[in-house]
Amino acid sequence: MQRLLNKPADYVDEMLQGIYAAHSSEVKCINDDLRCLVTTHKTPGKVGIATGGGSGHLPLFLGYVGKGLLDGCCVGGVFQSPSSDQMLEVTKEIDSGAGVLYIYGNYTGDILNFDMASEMADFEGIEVRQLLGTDDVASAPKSLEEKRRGVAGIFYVYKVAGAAADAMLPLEEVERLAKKASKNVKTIGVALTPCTIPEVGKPNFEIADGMMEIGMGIHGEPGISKSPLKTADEIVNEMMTNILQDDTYEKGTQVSVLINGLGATPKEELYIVYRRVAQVLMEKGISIFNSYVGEFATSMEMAGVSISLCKLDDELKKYISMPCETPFFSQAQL
Amino acid sequence: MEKLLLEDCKRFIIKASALMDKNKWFLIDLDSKMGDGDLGLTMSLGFGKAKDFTLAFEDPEIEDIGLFFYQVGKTINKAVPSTMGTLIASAFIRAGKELKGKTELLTPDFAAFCKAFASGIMDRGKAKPGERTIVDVLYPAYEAALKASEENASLDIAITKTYEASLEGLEATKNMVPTTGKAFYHQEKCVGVQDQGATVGMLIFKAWNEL
Repeated sequence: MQRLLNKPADYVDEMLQGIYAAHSSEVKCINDDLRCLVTTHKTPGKVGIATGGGSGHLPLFLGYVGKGLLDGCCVGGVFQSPSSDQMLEVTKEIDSGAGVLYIYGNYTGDILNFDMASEMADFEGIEVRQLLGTDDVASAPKSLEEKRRGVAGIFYVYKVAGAAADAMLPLEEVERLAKKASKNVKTIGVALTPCTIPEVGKPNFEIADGMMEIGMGIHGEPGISKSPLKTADEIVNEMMTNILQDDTYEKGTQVSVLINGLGATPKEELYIVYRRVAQVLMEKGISIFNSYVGEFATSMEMAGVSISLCKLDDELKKYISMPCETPFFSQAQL
Repeated sequence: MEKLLLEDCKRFIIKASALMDKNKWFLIDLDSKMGDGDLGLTMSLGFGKAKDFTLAFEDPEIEDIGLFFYQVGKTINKAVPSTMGTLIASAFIRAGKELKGKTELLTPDFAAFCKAFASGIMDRGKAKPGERTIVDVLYPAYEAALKASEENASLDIAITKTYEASLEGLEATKNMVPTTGKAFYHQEKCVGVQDQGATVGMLIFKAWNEL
């Protein structure tokens, strides 16, 4: 894979400099730390929502900082956790007096650092609650749900929490709604090619030509099955079976669908995948309330896709429908 | 000594730093056998920064011991973001929270310090006693401090008993099998040798003992 970069070691910081330059009216960094990004629109008395994680997954994580979504984000090196100090700085900057909710993926480094930041914030007088994304059904069995990895489905948690905070709900309510969304979202992915960390220069795992791996994580964590590449419809059938058996989806259930490109897969193919997803859901009597198709949580230049279903009730529909606007993602009122 | 004031807590940090420096190569040596060999460097550096912070620390109007330990924790966290560095920082931050607002420590407060210090590491590191880690010194030390507190012992006796328990805890690690940390990958080399993390724990209580 040929890249557009200068020195590999400067990859993340130069990316951030470009983002601040391109979107200076919407986002800024804290003091001189490029890796602590916050919205320029601060609302007094609103619950602050923070996220964080490694670089290499745009628009995840910092792409969701903006109106109606998140207030701040700290990023680390490619696939590396940021520091607890950086998360603390973001927390202090976005605190508007109504407390802060952290929403981030279930990864050891992030948990260590963000948990630490929450203790420090607590000492310094800011109430912080935390919520982990655990939507990847392939990463652990149903009985060990809390061990599952967080992947693209975290978008739904951001959306609901961001809208609830925008509606000026208190911290307990924002947390309750975000938790409900998190419980209701299920994701599974398939990888067709591996990805590379710029400073390393070569992939640190393999997917042979003509093969695919279902359930691979967004850092190349092993999946649940390696097999020869099948047709799009066959792959979707297999992935949808995994998702639909993971929760109760009675006839008449409404869902939101998210088809996420992992970085190198053309949008054309995302829509071929969506076509079959919609057919499967129709066959099961499940109706689609709304859909998102595009790149929501990539993995550098990995080819592949993930499918997320978010089971909806009236409350979740209300908050998913609310408008939001960031430099990377916008939605008008549905 | 009847009680600990902020002044004593500052001397404790300076003493701990001196002990980490004195034992730097011993810790590196232990850590090289069954880790990545940097423990002596990170503890010496981390506690060194804590000492610098302490020496520059201007006593505020209210000599809040908890706030002091919290800031020591933050200093160590920033200086040495390695696993052990983060765990020791967590211990001080937790202890700081427990003692927030206190301007003097009596025996029960010292026991509270020991409890918070141990639980800060147990919670963050997800380790329990018996897994051949620093917890195997910190937890018995806390139990000894608690016992001293329940027996209304003086602070001097409580600190000495705690230090003795830490020595016993360290000795006991010689026969434990590691289940976590880098040592987990070097199990055969651990038999009969004291755990390096537990050694750091003992040195911390040695610092209190040598005040």
